[in-house]
Amino acid sequence: MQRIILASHGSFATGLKSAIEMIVGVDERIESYDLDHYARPSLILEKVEEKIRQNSEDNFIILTDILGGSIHNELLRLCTLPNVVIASGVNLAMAIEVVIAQDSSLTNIIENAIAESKKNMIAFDSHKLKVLLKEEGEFV
Amino acid sequence: MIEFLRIDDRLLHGQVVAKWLNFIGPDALVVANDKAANNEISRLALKMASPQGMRFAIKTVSDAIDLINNSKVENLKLFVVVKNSSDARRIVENVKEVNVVNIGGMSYKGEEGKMIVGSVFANAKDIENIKSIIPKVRELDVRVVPSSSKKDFFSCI
Repeated sequence: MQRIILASHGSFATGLKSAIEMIVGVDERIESYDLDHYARPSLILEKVEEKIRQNSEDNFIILTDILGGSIHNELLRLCTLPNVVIASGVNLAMAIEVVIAQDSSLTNIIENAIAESKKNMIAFDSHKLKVLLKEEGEFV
Repeated sequence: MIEFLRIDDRLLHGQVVAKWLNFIGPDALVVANDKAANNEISRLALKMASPQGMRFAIKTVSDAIDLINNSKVENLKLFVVVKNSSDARRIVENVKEVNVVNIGGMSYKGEEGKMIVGSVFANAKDIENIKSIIPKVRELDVRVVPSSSKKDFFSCI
């Protein structure tokens, strides 16, 4: 099984989990670890390490909130394990992409998720809307 | 003909619909929704959520029915998205052939709704609509994404 671990400052991880589940439904493979709840990044590391130990036949995709942040720095070492990959800067699009992936390669899954999520970040202003509305076309 | 009619009350989610489009491989995507069709910004938002290069139309439910029945379009394999079970029923009742009706998402309906599975809640009207749809289509499939397991609607009620 591929398990998905979300870890963040504040309560972003649990919030992100709730947003994922509103869109793709409840998924028992997803777990969230909030610094609001665990108080120390090292405690989150302990909990995740324990999870990995107890489920050594599973693969783990860890998604953290921000590169260089205390959560990511603490958990990064886990990707030395062959069944673990970790990606920073998670957003909803990236997380959904990971959850709905059907690849068996962990690296392919996160690389694809990152590439897809970049396409999700688009700025709009009234000028851009005007331009896009002009381009609108339909097939019949 | 309609290869796949999806009920999703968030209409298109870029990634979720992309997964389905890869899986089903239709010739074109039609969003049938009165409100969205009549608002140019809603249409634009939906268009942006649809994959590049996929033939695409957003129509009112009536116009979608006309489009689906149009002889130029009849032989295309269509992926149709609607927001609710009533629109799905109207379409099924007015077109010739529907292969699969897929229930991907129906939001919480408050106290009078029952949870079928995960992101699917149904009230009495939904159940009536779905009962009416079933004999007219080849398969009813409750699934958010292709990799989810298929759930049986009526055994979940």
